[in-house]
Amino acid sequence: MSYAKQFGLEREPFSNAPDARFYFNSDQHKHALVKLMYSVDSNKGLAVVIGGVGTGKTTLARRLLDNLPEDKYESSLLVMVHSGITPEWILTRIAMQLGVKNPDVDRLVLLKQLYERLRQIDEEGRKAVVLIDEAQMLQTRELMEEFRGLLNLEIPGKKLLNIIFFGLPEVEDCLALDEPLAQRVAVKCRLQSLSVEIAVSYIKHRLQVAGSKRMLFSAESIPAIHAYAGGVPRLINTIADNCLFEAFLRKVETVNSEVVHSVAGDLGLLSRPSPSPIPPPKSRVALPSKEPGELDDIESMLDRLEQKL
Amino acid sequence: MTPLSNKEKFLASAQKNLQKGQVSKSIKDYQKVVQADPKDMRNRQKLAELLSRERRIDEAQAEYEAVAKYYTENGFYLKAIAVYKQMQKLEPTRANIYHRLAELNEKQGLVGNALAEYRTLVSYYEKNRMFPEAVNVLQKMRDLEPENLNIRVKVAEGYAQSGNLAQARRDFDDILNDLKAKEDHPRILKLYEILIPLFPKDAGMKTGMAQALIEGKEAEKGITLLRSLMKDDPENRQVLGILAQGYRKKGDFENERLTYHHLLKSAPDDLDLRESYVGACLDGGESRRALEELEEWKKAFFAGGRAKTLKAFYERLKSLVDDRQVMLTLQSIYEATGEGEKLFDVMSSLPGKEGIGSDQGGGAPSGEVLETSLLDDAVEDLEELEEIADLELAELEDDDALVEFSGSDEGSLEEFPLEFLEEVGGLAVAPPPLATLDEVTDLEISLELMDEETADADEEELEIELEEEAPCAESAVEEIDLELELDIPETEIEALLEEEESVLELQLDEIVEVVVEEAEEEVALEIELDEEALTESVNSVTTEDDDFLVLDIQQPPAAGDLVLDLRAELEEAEFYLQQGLFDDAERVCRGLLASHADLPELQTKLEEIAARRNETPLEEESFFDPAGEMHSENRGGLVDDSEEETDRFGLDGVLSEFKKGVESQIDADDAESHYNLGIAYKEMGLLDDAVNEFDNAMRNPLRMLDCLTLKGICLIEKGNFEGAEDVFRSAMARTELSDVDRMGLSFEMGLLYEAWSRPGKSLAQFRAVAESDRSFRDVGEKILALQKVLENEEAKGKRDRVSFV
Repeated sequence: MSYAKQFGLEREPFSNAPDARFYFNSDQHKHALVKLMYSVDSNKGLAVVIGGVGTGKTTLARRLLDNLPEDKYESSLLVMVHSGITPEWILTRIAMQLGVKNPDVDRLVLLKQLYERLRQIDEEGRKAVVLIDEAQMLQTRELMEEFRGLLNLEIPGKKLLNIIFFGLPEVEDCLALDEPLAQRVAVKCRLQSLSVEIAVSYIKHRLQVAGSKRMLFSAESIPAIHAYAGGVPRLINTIADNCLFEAFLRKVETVNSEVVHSVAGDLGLLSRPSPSPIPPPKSRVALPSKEPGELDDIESMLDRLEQKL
Repeated sequence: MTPLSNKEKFLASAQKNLQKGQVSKSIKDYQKVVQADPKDMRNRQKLAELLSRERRIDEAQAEYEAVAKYYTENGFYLKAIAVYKQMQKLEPTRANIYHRLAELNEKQGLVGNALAEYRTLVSYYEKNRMFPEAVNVLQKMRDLEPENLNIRVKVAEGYAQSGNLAQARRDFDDILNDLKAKEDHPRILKLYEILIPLFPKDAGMKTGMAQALIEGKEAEKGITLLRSLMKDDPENRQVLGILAQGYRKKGDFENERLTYHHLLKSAPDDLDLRESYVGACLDGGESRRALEELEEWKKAFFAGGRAKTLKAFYERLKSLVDDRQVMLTLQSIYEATGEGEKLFDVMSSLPGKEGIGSDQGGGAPSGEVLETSLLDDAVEDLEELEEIADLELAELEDDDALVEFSGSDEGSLEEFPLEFLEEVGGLAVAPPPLATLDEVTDLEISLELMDEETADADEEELEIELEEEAPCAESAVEEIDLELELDIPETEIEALLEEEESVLELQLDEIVEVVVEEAEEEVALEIELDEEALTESVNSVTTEDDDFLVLDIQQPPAAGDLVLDLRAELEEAEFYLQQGLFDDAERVCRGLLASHADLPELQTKLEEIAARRNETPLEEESFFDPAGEMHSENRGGLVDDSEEETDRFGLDGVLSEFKKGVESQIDADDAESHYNLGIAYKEMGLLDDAVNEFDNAMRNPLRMLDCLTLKGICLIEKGNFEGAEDVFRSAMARTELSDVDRMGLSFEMGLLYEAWSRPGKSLAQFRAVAESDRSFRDVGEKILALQKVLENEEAKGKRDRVSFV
């Protein structure tokens, strides 16, 4: 039973399954993407994207991957699905993803193979990029050291491999396991939850991509959704999806506050902070207040550190 | 450190910052670059682009303007156009940019583009009710396209809207004159539709419109409009003149005649009107009336150089009216025009034919003297005159209706009874009494030319005695004597006197009218010319100089004038009645009533007026009122809708036609300008504009391939790969391509597929190029690179770039 037909939609608008068509280019995602591309293009080595649950890290990772055409980049996205992986395993997978045809079981041989492959990629005028999603699962110092080792694969004046971690804030704890690696973080982006205004645009965007000819949510329903979701896109999706289904069952044409509250109740979200309107952030872009200057400072600091290294 | 190195340093910093997405910092760097080298237009333009990207519009515009001015001053108009186009995109409401663009396009010879910019400006100014500004722009448009009627109309309209009605009127008049010269009635009508609302108080506009309607195919509407105008100004001669034309167009010759009659009342000497009047009589089947008129005015026609017209009329009359007088006048005309053959025909047809007496009053003999005088006037050869006199004498012998003109002493008096009554009837004297008169009146006229044996041998006196008798009422006999004095120079008299007899016919309509003063009486009228009457003559025909015989009929003023007035006034009343001017019609009839209270026709006419007046209110409601109708039509659509208002004269339609025309007439130079402008646009990233220009330029066959190629490249830059593929394919399909052309296109297609991430297809195109020329551009490198890409893809197989660990 689908509500899509009822609302004249071509597909479900609030599915949490990754779908590039639904990519919402919010200001913070846009900025993050620019920074990450800059990091890759200038061979910075290591970049980190940190964000809470459902803030769009995976979406951004896939978007970045799409932005890396194969003629210019040898790129791969590794999604960590469990925390018990070993350094060898990850090394082998990375080697395979980068095109090492028969990765050796011997770590040193494998490293050699990988180095040769990276040089080949470089000779082709391309850049090697490895994206690691759910990086907070890399919870051992050995793993961190392995990554540091990979980042050390370089030719004079040039790094041969770029690594980008996408993860929950805990990823910083993982990095802290190997201080030299933490120091190698050249670019760091933080994804925030959406402001209510951005949430409005987000919902409209997804509806539009799904083929909706009209706004299916009443004006007062969105702040309620936003409040229950805490501005987290994935939760917004879940609530909005349920709201549409609820509206479909109730045979109402537009999702209203009543529907939202009902859905929030079903989802057990009523214990969350009151859905009363959340004061809008001062900036439409939900970035840390000192973000631009702060990032510049960090960049400068990292540049200096690199020079010293 | 030299400024140049400074510049390089800033430039490097700017590019680095830009790469990092730090636009503000990059802008600062570019500002320093520009400061270090103010003439570096490329970087200034880059600065402007970045400023516009940051929505720092004013600063961006200032930089763009500096670039555009530099290009303009240095003659790089196409580049300047491209820069202004950027500025226009940034701030579409800045009118001065449109001006600059139009001027630059004009300088570059791109008239179509210039007009397009001006049109946008005009729309903008009109929308904002800035009419003087709109007019200025329209004038520029007119300068660009002086023959463009629509622009001219818009200019004039603009003047009107901005309050300069005098100039508007002048311009409209010019346009009207041009249209009239082309007899473009539909457009004239359309123009009046525009004009009338603009000049609501100008009756001339409605008059003009009426004329346009008449000259078009809507005479009825035109007449109705004129009638409505006459209510305000019944004596407007222009209106009346057009009205008469309207009636003619409609085939209503009776009303045409009445209208000319009315006009002639105030301008009796206007021969144009007179000619038209006669024409209306003839076409309306009133040949007799035409003849009367012509006989009365033929001398004036001759004097006015209208012999040809006169001839045409009489030749028509010849077949319409069986009247000796027609033949006689024709004879005179042919004499004057020197048409001997026709003259002979006429002369030979005159004798033996039915005489004037059988004619129902039309052949009034009084015309003969005039005829002779005309002849004298036209032909100064006395011999000829004598011949004609001979001829006429011969006719006289057979014709009892002719007045005898005798130069002999014997002066045998012959009496020629003339039946005037019908003629009188024709002169519109009250019908019933005339009907009676018709039956009982016996009119006799005798005209005898006597040789006066007086001391003054030069002078011949001709006396006409008119005797009116009422046989039934003997006591009521009245005598009217007319004395005709004939002054003939001695030599002529001598010549004339040598002739035994001479015939003179007199046209005596007026005399007859005099006679019929007492309408109720039965009268017999006799005109006798004898010696006794001579002494008591009241009228005379006198030869005043060597060339002329002049008929000087001094009618008893009261009686004659009255009859003529009666006829004229009744016609006048009829005219007013026909035009729906009932007050005027009634006024004329009432005026007549004072002197002719018992004239039944007056009463009839008054009743008719009253009846028509009663019909009219209803009729008027449904009456067609072209002006009003047009207003209401316009209110419903075109005029009220300001958007469409510009199209009232088909402006948009014609402009688009015009544009098409311009486009189709683009010569090689224009195409080259479009081509260059396209390149300038492309360089500045104005890809849509560039594509438009290439579309325009490709009308030049020599530039077709270049334009298609560049268009395809633009589409690739836009990411419209499918579009680009179509363009390249269409170019490839052309038959006239050389091998080098094909190579170039294949190479471009290779680039297209490369950008489209289709390395296989791309490689195929490049290989096709390399087969012909391995050194073509960098085709070798392209092939190598693509081969590597494909090998890598192969190596990777279908490896998913996303892996779960």
